[in-house]
Amino acid sequence: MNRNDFIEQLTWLLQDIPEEEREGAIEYYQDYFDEAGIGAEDETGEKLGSPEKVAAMVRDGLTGGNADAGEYTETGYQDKRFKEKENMPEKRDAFQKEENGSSAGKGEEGKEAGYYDYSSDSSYNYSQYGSKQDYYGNYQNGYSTNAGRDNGNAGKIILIILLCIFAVPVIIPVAGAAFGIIVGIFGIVFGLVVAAGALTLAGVICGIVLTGIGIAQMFTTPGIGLMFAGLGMFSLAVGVLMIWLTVTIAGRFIPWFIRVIVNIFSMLFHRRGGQAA
Amino acid sequence: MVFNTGAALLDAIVLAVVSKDKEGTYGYRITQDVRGVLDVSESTLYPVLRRLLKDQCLEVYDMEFGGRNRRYYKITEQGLVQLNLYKSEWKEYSSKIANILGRD
Repeated sequence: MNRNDFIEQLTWLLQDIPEEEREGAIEYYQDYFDEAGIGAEDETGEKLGSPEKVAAMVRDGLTGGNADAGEYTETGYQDKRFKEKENMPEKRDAFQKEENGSSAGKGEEGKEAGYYDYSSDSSYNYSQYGSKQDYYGNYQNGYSTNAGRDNGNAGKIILIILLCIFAVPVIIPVAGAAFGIIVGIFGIVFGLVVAAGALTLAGVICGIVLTGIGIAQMFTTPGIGLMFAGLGMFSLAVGVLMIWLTVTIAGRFIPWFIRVIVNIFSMLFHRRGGQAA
Repeated sequence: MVFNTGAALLDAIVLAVVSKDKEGTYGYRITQDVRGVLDVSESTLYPVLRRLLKDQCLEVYDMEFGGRNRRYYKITEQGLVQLNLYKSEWKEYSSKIANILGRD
């Protein structure tokens, strides 16, 4: 094909792409003919290939997303989409092989496949091929993942047993220490409650006695009597405050502390349960 | 050559060919240089050059030659970065393949 025909046909074939793109491509191939030399124009036209192919490649480059669609083989640029006629029989062969393979494994499907007419309706065959492979593939996948999970479980159980065996020398002292700390805290709290109770008792008794003495003294020496009465009132107030403290410690802090410990233990057991499952 | 050349390798080769000339080079020579190492058809490179231009790996300028304008392609800073990436990737890839295929 000579230069003018080539450019003319290429221009005609690219008339629906943006003008800028068309001019860029035409200019490039004009330049290409120029560089190849005036004497080599027909030869260059042959080397470039048919304007249809060149136009298809220019058009393909515009979409950008299909950069990997084509391959450059030893026979030059290959794009499967431009070679549909050669692809059809290849896929049909593959389909037949797949059917033969599955009929060996699965009798029912193999028999079913025997009724298909490969040559009459290729599109029907393609869809069958696709879905069957999917079904088979999914089945395989499901099987292999199940097996993997079982192995993992067995391994986990062995690991947990080993962990328990090795952990015994560590767990016993740690558990003992934890138990000691808990009992100690209980002791402190109990002591606080007892002390507060004793203070309450002492404060109240002291207060009543001192107030009584004060009132009696007021008749002889009013100043000292007033002082005793005041001290007695103060002591009574301290006693009342201690009642509140005792009730607070015994009624609120101890249940809260027990709840915290219960929570810690339940958390430990829940976590262990989660690992096993 | 029984091994196929993917788009990335062709991009890398074109960038390498263009970067050889500081002043840039033109379409026909790029094609001939690439064809010197790789058996691609003569019409293959236009889409590649266009894509590299669009990705700003290459830039063009026109210069008069023999009474007409000749379009020169020149590598950009970004193109050099991309080429270096391709080079290091290729080094890794080819050494791995050589480890398998290159020893008897």
